[in-house]
Amino acid sequence: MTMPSLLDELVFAQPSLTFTPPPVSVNLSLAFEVKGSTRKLQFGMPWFLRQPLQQILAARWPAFCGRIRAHRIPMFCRVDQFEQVAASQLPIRLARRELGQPFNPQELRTADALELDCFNSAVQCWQWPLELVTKERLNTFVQAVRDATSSLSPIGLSLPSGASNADLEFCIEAACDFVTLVSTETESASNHAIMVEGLTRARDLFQSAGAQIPILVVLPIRNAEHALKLLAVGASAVCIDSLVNPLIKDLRANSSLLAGGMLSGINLSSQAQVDVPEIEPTLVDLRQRLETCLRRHACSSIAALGRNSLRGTTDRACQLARVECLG
Amino acid sequence: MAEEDEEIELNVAELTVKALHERLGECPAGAQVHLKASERLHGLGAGLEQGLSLAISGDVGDFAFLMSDQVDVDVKGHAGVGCGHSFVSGSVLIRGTAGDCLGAYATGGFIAVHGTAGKRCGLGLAGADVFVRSAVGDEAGYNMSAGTLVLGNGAGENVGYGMTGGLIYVRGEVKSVSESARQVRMKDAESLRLGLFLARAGIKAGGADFRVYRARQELKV
Repeated sequence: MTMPSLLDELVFAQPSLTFTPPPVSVNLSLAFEVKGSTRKLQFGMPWFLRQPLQQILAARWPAFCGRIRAHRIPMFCRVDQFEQVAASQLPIRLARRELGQPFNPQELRTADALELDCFNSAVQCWQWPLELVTKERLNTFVQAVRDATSSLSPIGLSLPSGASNADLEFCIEAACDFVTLVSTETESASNHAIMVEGLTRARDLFQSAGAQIPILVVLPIRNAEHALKLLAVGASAVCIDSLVNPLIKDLRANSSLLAGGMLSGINLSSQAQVDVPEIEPTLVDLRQRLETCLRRHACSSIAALGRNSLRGTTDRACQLARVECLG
Repeated sequence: MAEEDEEIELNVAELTVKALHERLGECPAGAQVHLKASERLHGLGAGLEQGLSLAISGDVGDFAFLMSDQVDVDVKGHAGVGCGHSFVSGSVLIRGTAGDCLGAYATGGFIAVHGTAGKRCGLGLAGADVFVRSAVGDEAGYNMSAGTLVLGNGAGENVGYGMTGGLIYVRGEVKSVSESARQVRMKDAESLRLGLFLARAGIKAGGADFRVYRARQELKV
């Protein structure tokens, strides 16, 4: 039996019935400023994919990329994963590099945004690398990476969901363009609680420091409502792998039929036409729910959707998300 | 070749690194550029890739030549922390001293320091050749996976900590060797290669005085 998530203990409050005209249009996009530059990177939607299942998608991969692009959703990918994808199907590419690994110039320079990951895969734990042990040094390093990539792309730092205030302050000092809070891969109720507490704390800390740093959230959410609640708690964009990837895994049986069956002889150009309409309802549903939510709360943009629109149904939820109790 | 003969002189006193890089970006491939560095500019030369030859008089700051590709650099001064981080190809010669983490995660090219280098020299080295003529700090070759680290005047504690590949050559006293590394007998081919390596660094010496260390458990990639 699945344990209840802390996000289920948060509900959107009923807005006051006093007349406030709903916004004519709502802005669903998210803009990243590149520090020291006039450039901005625009996410069309406040969602992103972190681990797209290219291998399972196989021949459907280019069409999948095209659909993701059509919904203006960015995707973490290596540059070589786009080799078979036409330019017209390329979504926004986010690159991720572990800090304790060599940097690949081609990978970094061609990315629309770059995330420097503090997770040390060699020892399977989060830690600042040994060469970046002071705030000044991290700031210098981020600036050097910025210079090496011609200041064209936003540079972010990824931290664990329960990152301490000291580590969050490190990010402010490093003058990074965004921060990613990452929960572990396995879904558990405690992960949700840690993320909500950490996200709340990070948003408040950034606001009190006057730093308008977007926060990306990587958490195995269970439904679209969870994504909306995370936006209200303080996230700028939410990873939707856990909503999209199960749909792709369902395709696995069909993919193996394709690979082993009579269609296995067809050439790559024909295979590239294989579409993935299965993901469309989920992406449309996410968009519609977000639009409805923003209109309901008279918010013209995602930034306007705040914790004041949420209520907690338990003391724990109220305490961790710093919201009022329902009723 | 007119392009290769072109010599350009830049005074970096009134330039930010970004402005300097824009000026360098305008230089033709193969140009020889002389830089007068009056202060330690951090990130100098980061991401350069158009085949320049840089002669720098003065010190360079932290993370100089990060991710640089196809550049040849001669620094008549000192370098800060992380010089040559993720260096791709070309060469860097530091005639003074270098800070901690020299050549960190460098995947190719040649980095030489005539003076001393700080802690964790060759951190995560991933294919580049790094040479330090004078003393280095502790944990040289930390987590290195490929490439060659040559230390001309001894090494500190914990040499080769976490190394999974590559070679470390040391002449002089080694305070301690980590459990991840082991000393091996130098083969004739390695001795010859080391001699060529030293010649490239401007050192007229053979490789006979050096000891060789390899990873105890090499990770095949």
